[in-house]
Amino acid sequence: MQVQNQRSLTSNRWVRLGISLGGVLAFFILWEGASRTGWLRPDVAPSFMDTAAELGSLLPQSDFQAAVRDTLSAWLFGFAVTAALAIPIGLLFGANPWAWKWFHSTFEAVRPIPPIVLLPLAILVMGSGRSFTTVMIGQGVFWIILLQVTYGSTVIAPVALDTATVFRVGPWRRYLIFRLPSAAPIIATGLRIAAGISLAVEIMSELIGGVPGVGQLLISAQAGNDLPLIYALTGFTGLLGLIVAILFRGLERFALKNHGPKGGAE
Amino acid sequence: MKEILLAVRHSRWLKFIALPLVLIVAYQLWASSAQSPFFPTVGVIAVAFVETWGGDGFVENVVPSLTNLAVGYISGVILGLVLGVLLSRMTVVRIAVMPIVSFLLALPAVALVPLFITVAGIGPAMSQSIIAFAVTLYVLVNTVDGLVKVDSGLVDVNHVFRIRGWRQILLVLLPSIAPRLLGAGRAALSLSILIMVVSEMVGASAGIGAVTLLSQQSFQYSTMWAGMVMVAVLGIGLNALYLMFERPMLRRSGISPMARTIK
Amino acid sequence: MASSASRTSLVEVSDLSITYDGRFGKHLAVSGVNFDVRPEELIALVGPSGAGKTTILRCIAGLLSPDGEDSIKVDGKPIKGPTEGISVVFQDYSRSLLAWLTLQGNVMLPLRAQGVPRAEAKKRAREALADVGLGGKETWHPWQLSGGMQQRVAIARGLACNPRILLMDEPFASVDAQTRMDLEDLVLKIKNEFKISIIVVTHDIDEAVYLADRVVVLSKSPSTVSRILDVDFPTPRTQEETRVLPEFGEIRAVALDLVRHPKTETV
Repeated sequence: MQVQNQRSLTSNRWVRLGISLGGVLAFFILWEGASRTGWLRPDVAPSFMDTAAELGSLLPQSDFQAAVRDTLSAWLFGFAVTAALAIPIGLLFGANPWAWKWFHSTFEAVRPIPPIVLLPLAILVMGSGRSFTTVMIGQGVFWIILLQVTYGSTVIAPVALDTATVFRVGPWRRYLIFRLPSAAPIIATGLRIAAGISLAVEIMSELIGGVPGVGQLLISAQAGNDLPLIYALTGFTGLLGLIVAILFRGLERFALKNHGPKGGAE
Repeated sequence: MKEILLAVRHSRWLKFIALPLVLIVAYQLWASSAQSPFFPTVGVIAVAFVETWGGDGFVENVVPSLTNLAVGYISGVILGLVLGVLLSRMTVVRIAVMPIVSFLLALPAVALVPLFITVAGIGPAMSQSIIAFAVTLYVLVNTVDGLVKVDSGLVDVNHVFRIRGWRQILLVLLPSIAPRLLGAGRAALSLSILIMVVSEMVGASAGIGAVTLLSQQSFQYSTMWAGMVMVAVLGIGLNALYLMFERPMLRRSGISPMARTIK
Repeated sequence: MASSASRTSLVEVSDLSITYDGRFGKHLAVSGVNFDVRPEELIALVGPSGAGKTTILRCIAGLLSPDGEDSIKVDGKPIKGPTEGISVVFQDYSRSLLAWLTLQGNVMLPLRAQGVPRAEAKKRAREALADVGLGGKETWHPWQLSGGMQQRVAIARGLACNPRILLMDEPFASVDAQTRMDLEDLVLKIKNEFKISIIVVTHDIDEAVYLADRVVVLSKSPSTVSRILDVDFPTPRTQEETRVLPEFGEIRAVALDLVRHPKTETV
């Protein structure tokens, strides 16, 4: 019989955490075991221990640390500049439906252009410096942030705007007290998505454009056919992505905090 | 009445092309006066486009790229759906594998290119497997998440009317999360195009991405522009194609396309 | 009453207790409820909000398990999960109907899941839709209908399975008053035509008295039965005539008092 009034064991937070940790552990053990028994050939993947050891030996190296710094600073710079441009423009469009009607379909059409499209030209014109990565990131996520911000600032309930009108709230307050808070969670979601894509674009620029950073280390490891190094670097990139995702999830949760359990979009 | 409808249509079309048209004209004026080798005029780009991607170029470069894209994308979608449905039914396994899955999802897919080149070698298998890998993950996560949070009302309907097996999955559960799945499919398609181009730029001698980057490195800037235009057109075109197929599906699922939000 | 009528009763609820495993530990929602349902009888469950009416209904539907294994019996057999012959009309039609299927598809799905051949399932679905006044709209989708009409589809889906017992959980809570009356009359019509037993959970005492042969009044959580009221109006009942009967007012007043001041009376 379908027992729904009994809370199952897996709804306990600690049990879940235990299973998750067990899953990760099991994954590592299986990986290591597959390598040791020869089922996982070393030309496909190094063993877990070798990969972990490789990553461990990477961390203290100064050129690796410099590469991480390069990647993170270029990513953060490009993302911050893009967000600083896209958010105000998006808010303006959000407050001006007429202008939005004109540009909306164009923006929607531009968004699916792959963020790599400008790369060949941009390297040519700008070389592989900070301005190049910034342009690449900007081209990749500007539209995403802009559309999300505009969408966010137009979803405000008409009742809330009517309330503002009835109480004769001035335009500035109207924006600060009524529009922005209702837009915040959606903007935060847009920023989270954009942050992830920005990191991908940064790595991509390093892979193809020769920009210094973790991606460039990956390319040289590939050229040297150094599998443990490739696995370690790829794994490290994943950790970077995970940290960025977790940080921006936190931001999103914070933005949602004042909206009650069901506030915001999804 | 007919005229009014036509006028509305007309103006929407106008709105759609107004800004791009202005930009293209402005670019043309600027490019013809600047005379920079990096910025050929629109006419030169158009000629290069036809020369590069027409005829043999189409068979040698466009077809393989699109084949890789289609194979990787479609197998990824199917695998993601199947694994997603399976994982949504196995609570303990799901909780156990989710940390690994979220790690792989957070890993920028383009960073996998060097690894896959080393393991799978340069060639179509490499592009296809990265695309399939990334799409599988993306579809899987959205399927699992959607199915785990599926409306309890539907769960009741399944129990009371004893709807089980494939009927439950295909007629009740998956359609109920169709808007989310379709959104995920669209995002996964964009990601696939990106991976296709990046993997070709890093490790291929044929294909759209390879031709574009090679022409840049050999100073054939009009060909490079033809490649950039091709990448942009593919992105826009495939997205439009997807929307055309998505809209009737959404309408059938009883949800207006506007009601969907980005994940 | 419940024990003496056990021979003729279709559903027996005896000493039903339901405990939830809530976030804050165990929570007793229903405590020792007794009532029975006879063939072709309409029972209404009323009570203050949070009285566990829906919880009891979910137990009969087999969606929840009661504390005692055999505290709910149908034909003398304890309920073990969703049972053939028991159909449910859920409160929220927008969640329980499948928007992506046509009306016919919605009604057919449970039949097909039970292995009814396609042609017969189709025929029964069409008949059921016609019975609730939706003939000719088989290819429509639920979202093309008003709320009241959608709830009719849910009723048709319940009926198509040829149930002996139809459970209705606040079926008309989200439709307007006019539509509500039409749907109430539809329920009475169904009961008479199909000779089935119906259990309706409602918070509306007027509705309960109008529809029911007996009204089971529940107390606040943990709910117990405050009293079972016999409703013996001349048939056929009509909105205009039945609601102005003096007996209607009397029963209504008693039920209302029990619901609003549960402490003043116990069984």
